[in-house]
Amino acid sequence: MQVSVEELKKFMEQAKSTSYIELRYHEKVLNEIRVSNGELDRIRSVVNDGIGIRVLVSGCWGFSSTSEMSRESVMDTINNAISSAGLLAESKQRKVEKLAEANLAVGTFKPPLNGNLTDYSIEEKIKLTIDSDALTKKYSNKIKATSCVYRETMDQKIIVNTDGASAELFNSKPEFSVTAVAKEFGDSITASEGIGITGGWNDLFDKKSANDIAKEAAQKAIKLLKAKRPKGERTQVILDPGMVGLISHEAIGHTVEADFVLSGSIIKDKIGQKVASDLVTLIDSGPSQFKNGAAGTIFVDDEGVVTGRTVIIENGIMRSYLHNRETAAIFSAKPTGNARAYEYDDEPLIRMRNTFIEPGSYSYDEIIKETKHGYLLKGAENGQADANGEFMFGSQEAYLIENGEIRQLLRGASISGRALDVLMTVDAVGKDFEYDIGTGYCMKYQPIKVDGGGPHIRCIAIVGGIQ
Amino acid sequence: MQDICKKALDIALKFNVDEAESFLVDKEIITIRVADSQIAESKGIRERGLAIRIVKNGSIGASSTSLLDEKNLANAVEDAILATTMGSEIKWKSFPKPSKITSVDGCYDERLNKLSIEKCIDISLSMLNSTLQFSNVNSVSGSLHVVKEHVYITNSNNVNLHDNGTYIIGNINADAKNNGETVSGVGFNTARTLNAFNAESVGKEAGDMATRSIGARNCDEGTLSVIFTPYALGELLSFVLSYNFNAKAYQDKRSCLYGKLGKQVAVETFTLQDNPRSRDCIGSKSFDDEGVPTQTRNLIEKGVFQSIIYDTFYAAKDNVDSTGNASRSGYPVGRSANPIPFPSMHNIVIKSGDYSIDEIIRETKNGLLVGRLWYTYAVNPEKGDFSCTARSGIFIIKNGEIVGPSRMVRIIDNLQRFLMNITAIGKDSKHTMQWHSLPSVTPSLRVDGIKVVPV
Repeated sequence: MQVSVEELKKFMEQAKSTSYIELRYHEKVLNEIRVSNGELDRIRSVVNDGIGIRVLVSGCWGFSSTSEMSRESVMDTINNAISSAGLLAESKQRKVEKLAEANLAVGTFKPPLNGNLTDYSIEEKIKLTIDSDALTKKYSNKIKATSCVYRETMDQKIIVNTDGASAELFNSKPEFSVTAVAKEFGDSITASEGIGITGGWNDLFDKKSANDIAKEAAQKAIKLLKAKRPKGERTQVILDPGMVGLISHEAIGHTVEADFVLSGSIIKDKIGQKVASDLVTLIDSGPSQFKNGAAGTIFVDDEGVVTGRTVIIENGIMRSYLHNRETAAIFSAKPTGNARAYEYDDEPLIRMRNTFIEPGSYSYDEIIKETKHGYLLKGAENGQADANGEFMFGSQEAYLIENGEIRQLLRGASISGRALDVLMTVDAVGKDFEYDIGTGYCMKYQPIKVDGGGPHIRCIAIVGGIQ
Repeated sequence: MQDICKKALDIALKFNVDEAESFLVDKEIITIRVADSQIAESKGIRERGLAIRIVKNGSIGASSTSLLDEKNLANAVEDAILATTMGSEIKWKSFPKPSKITSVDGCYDERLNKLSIEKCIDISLSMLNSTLQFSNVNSVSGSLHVVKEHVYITNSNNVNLHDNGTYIIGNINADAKNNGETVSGVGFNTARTLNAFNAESVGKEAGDMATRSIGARNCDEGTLSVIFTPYALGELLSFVLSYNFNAKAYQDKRSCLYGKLGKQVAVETFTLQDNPRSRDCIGSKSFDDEGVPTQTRNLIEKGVFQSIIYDTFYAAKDNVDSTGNASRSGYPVGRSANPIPFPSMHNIVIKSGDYSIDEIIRETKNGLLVGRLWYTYAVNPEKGDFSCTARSGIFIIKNGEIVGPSRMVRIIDNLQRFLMNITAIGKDSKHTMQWHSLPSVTPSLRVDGIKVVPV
């Protein structure tokens, strides 16, 4: 690290008196290896270091940042943040009256990991990426294009503020993904597989090896090449953990971010009300629950608040929004540790972490067996969700289910509906559990690493062919 | 800053490397955020970063750092050199050599460069207040970004360039509520000079679109003529169409236009350009992010597919010259110290046609006018299939007249079909740029036979 906790505290003490000052030193190292069609396309290493400074002056926030760690530069940056905040004082109507009391972090916080990423050579990582790309191509002569990406981010932070936070934070998030394009008779299909976690080198391939991921991507593309599209209908669907994670994050999670609630999301005024089936308990958690290594794992947020598990929906009843310290004070709630910033020059915003539905009591086989007609949707893809909770997501694979048996594989199915209406129809929640959207980033002004998942669940939604 | 850029190159050349390139960005970004109908936040940040690329034994390595002292520059150089030892030998010519650079006017404005946060708050208030003049508008959000940028490039072939840029981007989203139903409108303006920026128009457009959308009803599912206004079309160009002209996508055979160079891929009235030399456009610059002079290029000319775009790396693979499209795009706009550039259009331009928007509407029997798209993405890039949702400013057209606003609809189509079914090109060209996307200059466009499904 370029600065110490003591140096940051000294800067804070020397600053002009304001009601609140927060200094966040952040070093982010990103290494990326990308191989396409057998060629090493890019190797890049990015180091971004600097201090982000946030102040509260007369009920207004000001933010400024610098990548120069000299005393002069940091003090200038503090003064810039203070004057920015001061300029808002005249025009801002709803002032920040107070920040909610919080469990502020003191000490050092590191995720458990098996194999420091820095202990493994770049040669090894490149070889793995090249070999996996080659394996994907080798799977079939119908695989016409391939790509494989290994990416790792390592964060080191120090957060100090005038309310008492004083924490050193470390994080390590590797990810690996493979894409295969299969073509035959003028038709083509793209399939991908990947994994993204919080942890070390040995954790990344704990569940599946790189070879398995490569083979699965190729196998999926070949299988889907022959598959037909489903017919559009409103019917029962069984969602795999990735699809559950995507809906939990995109269609529900964003609507319960308290800044969004204040702007009038559909969930406004619904605390204490029934919004989903009794079987649904929806969580957003800083620590990785049920399974280790979820990609969105953080132990302390970027306001210095110790994170925990936030119960958003409990047995169908809306219980909590996701807060920073400002919105927690507005809603007379406890801060939930959801203030996150991507880099030193980003201000903390309310963001999700690991968002999931808790496991229930059904076995996977029971869910399938009890389904007369419907689809098993696997492999979350791109999608959309709006402020009113309306969503449309794609799944890579759709298996038709008839009379309790999995029948033919279909391609490119979409699922749509209103999130809360769909959650009301949940009639089976599996006892399995996986995180499965860890290769993705959530975009809300800034990118941020999140994860999501759950068990298999059964609900009713509109299924349609993507085309 | 030029000294630091040169110092990194000198450090690199002390090692036994074949070639080296140093790229430095020094950027000041002011952001004013509007939320809940008030100025919510002001933010001023300074971002500096240096990217280094090394060629050694036929392999390229790259790294970047925000720490510009000698020790960290040396670390960055060592990281890039280490990466070269891992790469396989690639097809490569060399980094660009010095060329005659003709500057593009209107990309830098001293008034914008000196604009204070206080003045930016005033401009944001003007956007906000002009929206709130519409009495039905009950919630306004948006942002103003002012970016001041200084870029330096130097390489071992004696390229030694410096460029300054200024940018201002304002956007407003207005929500209007009626009988419990919320509709929205969007307003947008971009410029490179303060004089060319119109804050009031941003708010007025958003407020007007939201107000006119009150009373929206479901439109019928079916196959319709859809008129994409500039802001909506800009999203489609940026997120779906532009990818197909990228050398990387083309070489990987993932462009839906692969194998069609020289062939008719669009109606004869349609011409698509990359124009980095147009005054006051957000993507305009005199040289690209490797130091190659920029040039205006027809990608589709009168319906015929003419060209794809290259940076130096991908040009070498096809044994051609770079088209001056190396990009290290930064957020919210301008450049960044991304260590590896990538081919990208600068300003996507559709050549204006002859139709006024009123004429296009008058000639539409059964259609929709669309003001803003949302979540636009390529479902199957190789085939050109795409999906998007029309979110704001949607109006139902029957027999040449707008009969009322529509609720959101999902639009599903295929690019190859889309380009061949353009039936009207407007003369209402406008600069637009969506969040995290490419700038475009486009008129309204009508395309027939588009499948539309109410959301």
